[in-house]
Amino acid sequence: MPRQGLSMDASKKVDLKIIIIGALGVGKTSLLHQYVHKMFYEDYRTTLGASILTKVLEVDNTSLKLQIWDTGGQERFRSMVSTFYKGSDGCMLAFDVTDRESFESLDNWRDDFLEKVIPREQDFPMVVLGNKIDLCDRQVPKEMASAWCKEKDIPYFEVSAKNNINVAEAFETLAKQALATYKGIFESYLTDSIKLTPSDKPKKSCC
Amino acid sequence: MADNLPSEFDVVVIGTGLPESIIAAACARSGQRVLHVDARNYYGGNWASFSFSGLLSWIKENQQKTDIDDECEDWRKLILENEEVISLSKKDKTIQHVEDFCFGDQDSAENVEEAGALPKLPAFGASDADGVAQEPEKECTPVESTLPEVESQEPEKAAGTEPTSTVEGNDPETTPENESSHSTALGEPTPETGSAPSESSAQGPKKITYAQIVREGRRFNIDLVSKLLYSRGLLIDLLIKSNVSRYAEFKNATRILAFREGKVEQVPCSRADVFNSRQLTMVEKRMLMKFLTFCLDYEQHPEEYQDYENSTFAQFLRTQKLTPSLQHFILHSIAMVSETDCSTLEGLQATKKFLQCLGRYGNTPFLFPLYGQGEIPQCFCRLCAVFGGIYCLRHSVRCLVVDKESGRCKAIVDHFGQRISANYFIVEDSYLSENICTNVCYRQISRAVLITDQSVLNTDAEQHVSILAVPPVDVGKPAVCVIELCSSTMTCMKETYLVHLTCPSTKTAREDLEPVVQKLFNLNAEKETENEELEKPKVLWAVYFNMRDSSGVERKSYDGLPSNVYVCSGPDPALGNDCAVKQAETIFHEMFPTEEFCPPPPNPEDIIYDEDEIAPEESGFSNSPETKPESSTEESSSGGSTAVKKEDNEERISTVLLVEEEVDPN
Repeated sequence: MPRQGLSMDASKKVDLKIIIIGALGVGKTSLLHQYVHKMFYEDYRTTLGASILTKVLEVDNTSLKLQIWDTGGQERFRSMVSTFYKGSDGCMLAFDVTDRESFESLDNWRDDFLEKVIPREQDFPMVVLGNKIDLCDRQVPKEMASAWCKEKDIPYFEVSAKNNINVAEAFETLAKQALATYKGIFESYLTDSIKLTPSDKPKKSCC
Repeated sequence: MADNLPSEFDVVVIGTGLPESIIAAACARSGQRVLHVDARNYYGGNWASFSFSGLLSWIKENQQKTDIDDECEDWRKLILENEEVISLSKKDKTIQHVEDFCFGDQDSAENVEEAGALPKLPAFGASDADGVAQEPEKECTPVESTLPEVESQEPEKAAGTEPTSTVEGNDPETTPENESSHSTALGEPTPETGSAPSESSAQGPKKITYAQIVREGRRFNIDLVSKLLYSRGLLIDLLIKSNVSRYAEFKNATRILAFREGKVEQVPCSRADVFNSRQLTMVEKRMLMKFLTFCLDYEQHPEEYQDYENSTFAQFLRTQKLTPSLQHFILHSIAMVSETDCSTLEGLQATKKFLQCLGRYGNTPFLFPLYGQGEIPQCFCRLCAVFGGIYCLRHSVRCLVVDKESGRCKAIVDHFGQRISANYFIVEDSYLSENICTNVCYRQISRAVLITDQSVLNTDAEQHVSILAVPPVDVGKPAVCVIELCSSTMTCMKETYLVHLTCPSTKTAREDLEPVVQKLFNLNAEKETENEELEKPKVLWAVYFNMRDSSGVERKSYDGLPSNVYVCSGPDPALGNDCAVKQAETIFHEMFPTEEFCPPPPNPEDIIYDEDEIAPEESGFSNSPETKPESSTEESSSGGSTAVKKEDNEERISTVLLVEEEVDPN
């Protein structure tokens, strides 16, 4: 989120926008749901549907509100709106360990992301998740994925949305990174922005 | 990728501008299977916004006159005997007279011409004393990320060091641009990682160079369309009602400005402004308050204006107890109407609209979306996607397939040769071929975008979003609307401002707008200038272009449109977005008269559904168990509060409070 020009008041939640990207069918929505709702649905097959989920957590004595944006299915034909990327504070790259192609396309997803976000002094907070480790027919060995991640200096997590393995750890690591970066970039000139909600009560006009 | 695109939909939408994106969202929301395509590799069409390099690509594309040639006729096999074809346009023709100018200083030019090395940044050298520790790191950043753009600017730059020269971007001699490794795809060719210089707060005016602009190019989000949102307008209401507002954030427009007697002044319009104004005398304050109070419910006092119903608003104002400067403020900056063409009633209504919008979110009637207007169509597209819409950029449509007997359109054939059928087709005007549009009389919008180094009105606080109406010199001509954006709108880099100028076209954009640019800004970067000039903000870079105005074109002007094909217009020249929203709602209701237009989703987040159930029987998402596996569902009643269940609520609602506190009217 664009920075607030305020001191880091402990009582105020820090809003962070996290996006989750990767090929169709790797389990992005499942990961989100496992993390936020502790639920997993075996039978749904597509990534369509989920939009933005919110999770509140405490990291380093700071209260964080993670706004996690799912792709809405637009990755299917590589037609993500740039709105999706704007203002993001952290990026989660996901692939399916049983789908080699989804791993190989990580480079593209990562490049795409870096191209679309506003460049920063530091590296952008990112983590990679190799999902579906609960399944047997692995196509991507752990070493291969780790090596790729090491080269890019991104933390790697082997996870299972279904069995809830390592999911929270991955999100929390990303959240920590994003928070550290957030505290580092302190652009004090930015003023507060307005979010519209249905409950907003209009003031009387000033005349 | 197109090979796994389904071949049947309920609605096909061609173009991702604002009206058609709203329609797409409304259709998906009501359970229709929507395919939404755009020939370009970006969203928004003429409503889009670009990074700096993205805009340079767009400029280049529009200055070239190449035609797309394709002879492949295989797709004809897909057309049956009882069908005929309406071809769609192969190239967009809505943008004309694109002229871009760079007013960089000499250092900039040197940097740019230096091939293969990192541009020197003397401005940073100067500020190095401030202890910008990251500079050495920046200098090591491989320049390949910026070089292509930088090189492509060479030809213009060489001439551009002469700030007053008129280097036209479409000069045929600037061919080296075509040789650069610049891809034709818009957007950055290579990622610029970690090259953002941190700019310590300036102790004095900083000299921004062109090279810096190029380098910081991704901090720019330059809109092709310049608009603001009325705090009580159709668009804001729709954003809130549909919950699309969650995808965007907004900034208040902070100042209303006027240009009078060669000077830019602030217009007090809220009660607080009026009271606090140092420009107005006590007498003027009372006059203004009295008049504005009357305007707010003028209908209750017909005796005040009925004698002037046949006069212009300007004439009416002269009869009211108002000084000339107050009349100017009201006519040009508050009502924002024509001196000659606007009736008393229209003027009063416009004034009232302005006043009613005051105070809802801030001291002016207007909001501006963070990252620019180009975000808005995308937000609706996202909503459409979330409700099952399928999105394909870079996807051209060759033609519409029409049944000869019924005259209805049955399908499209896309550029990959795939035939896709649907019941309804929405086509944005620029996709229609010339045959269909032969009888259409288009108007034009003149546009200019400037990158400047200071605000038109320098006050203590730097971060302002201002709107300034410049009345025409020739009274019959249209006024020029100027919107100045500060960097905290995330549309330009720090220490710069992005200025948009708009007016309905009389001539080319440059002819229409340059006179106003000259009045407000200093175009002579390096030359010795009059003191007066020196006080004016400097233009670092500018582009002018004319954009087709297809708003207000009657359906019957289009030749041979099947009854189930609807046309959406491109951007209109008005300040607000009512035109787009009204169009969308009208077209939606023509297709689906009984459906609700963009109702709030029952469960704004985590709606999951199976591929097979993309188009459920009922509209939207019923709370049927198959579609909502989790037990906790949220009902957010339309327009009502978003506070539902406490613990879940805390987690699920992504936009809880207005960040800027609103004063409770009670």
